[in-house]
Amino acid sequence: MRFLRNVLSRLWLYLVWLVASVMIWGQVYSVITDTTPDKKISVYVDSPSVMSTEFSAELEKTMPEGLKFIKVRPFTYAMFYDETFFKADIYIVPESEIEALADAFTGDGIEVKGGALGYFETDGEAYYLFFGKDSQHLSDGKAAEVGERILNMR
Amino acid sequence: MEKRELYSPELLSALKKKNSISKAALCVFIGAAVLACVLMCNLQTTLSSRRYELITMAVSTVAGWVTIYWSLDVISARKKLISHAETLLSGERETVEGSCSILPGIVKIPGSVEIVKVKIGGRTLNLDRDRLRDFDCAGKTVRAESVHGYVVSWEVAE
Repeated sequence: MRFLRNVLSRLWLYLVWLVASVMIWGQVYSVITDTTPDKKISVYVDSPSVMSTEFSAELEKTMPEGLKFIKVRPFTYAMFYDETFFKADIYIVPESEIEALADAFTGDGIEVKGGALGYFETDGEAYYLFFGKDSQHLSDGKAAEVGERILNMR
Repeated sequence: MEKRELYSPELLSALKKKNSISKAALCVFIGAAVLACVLMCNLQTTLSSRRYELITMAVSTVAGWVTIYWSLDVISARKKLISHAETLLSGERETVEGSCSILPGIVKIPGSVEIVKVKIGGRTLNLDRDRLRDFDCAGKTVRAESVHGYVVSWEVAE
C-alpha cells in the first residue's frame, strides 16, 4: 500500500523517465547504427514493403573494405525534401517510377532479378537498379560492388 | 512489564548500516544496468539492432524506475528516520503517565517521518508510524517518555 502510494505520488517522474529513456536510446541507436556517407552504401528501394533490416544484413555479409554499413531504406515521398535521398548510392525503383526519379540516377538501369526480389514487394512490376549520380562510391567502385551483389543474389 | 525503548543507539547504528548497504546496492545496480546497456550497444548487429534497441530501452526504463523508487522513497525515508532518531536520542526526556489510546489517521510531516497521534493521560503525543508495531499500549495504563512531543519509550504502569 505504501509502495503504491509512493509510486503514485511521483507518477510524473516515472513517466518522464520512460519518455526520456526511449528518446535517449532511440537517439543512441540511430547514431551507432549509422555513419557518414563515405563509410556506408545507401540503397533506396521504392516499394510498398521492404524487409530493410534483413536486406541490409544479407548485403553486409560481404562488405567492401572500408565500409561500416550498408543501409537499405524504404522509399517515402517525404524523401524528396531530404538532400541525403539524392546522394544515395543505389536506387531500386519500379519501371513506372523511373521517369519521376530520373534526375537522381546516372547511367542505365539494370533489371533486378533473383534473390533480391525476395526482400521487397514488387506487385508484379519489373524493378531496376540505378546508381546515384551524386554517390560518393562511384569512383572507388564500392557502389558497383554492392550493386553487383544485389543483382547476383540467389 | 519492562520498559521498552523505541529508539536506541543500536537501532540508530543498524539504520545507518542498512542505509549504507542500500546505497551501495543501488550503486552496484545502476552500474550493472549501465554496463548491460553499453554491452548491448556493442553486441548489436544490423539484424539484431532493433531487438537490442528495444531491450536496452526496457532495461534502462525499469532500472531508472527502480533507482527513482529506491533513492527517493527507500533511502530517503530511511535518512529521515535516522535524522529523526538522532534528534530524539539527544533530546531531553519528559515523563507522562495515564491511560493510552492511539488516535486514528496518519499524519505525513513534510521532510520527516509519518506519525500517528497517541493520547496518554490526556496529553497528545506523536509516535513514529514505523514504531507503531512496538507500541501495543491501547487500553492500558502506561508510563511513557517523550522527547519534543514524540514517544521514545514506554512501559505498562503498575
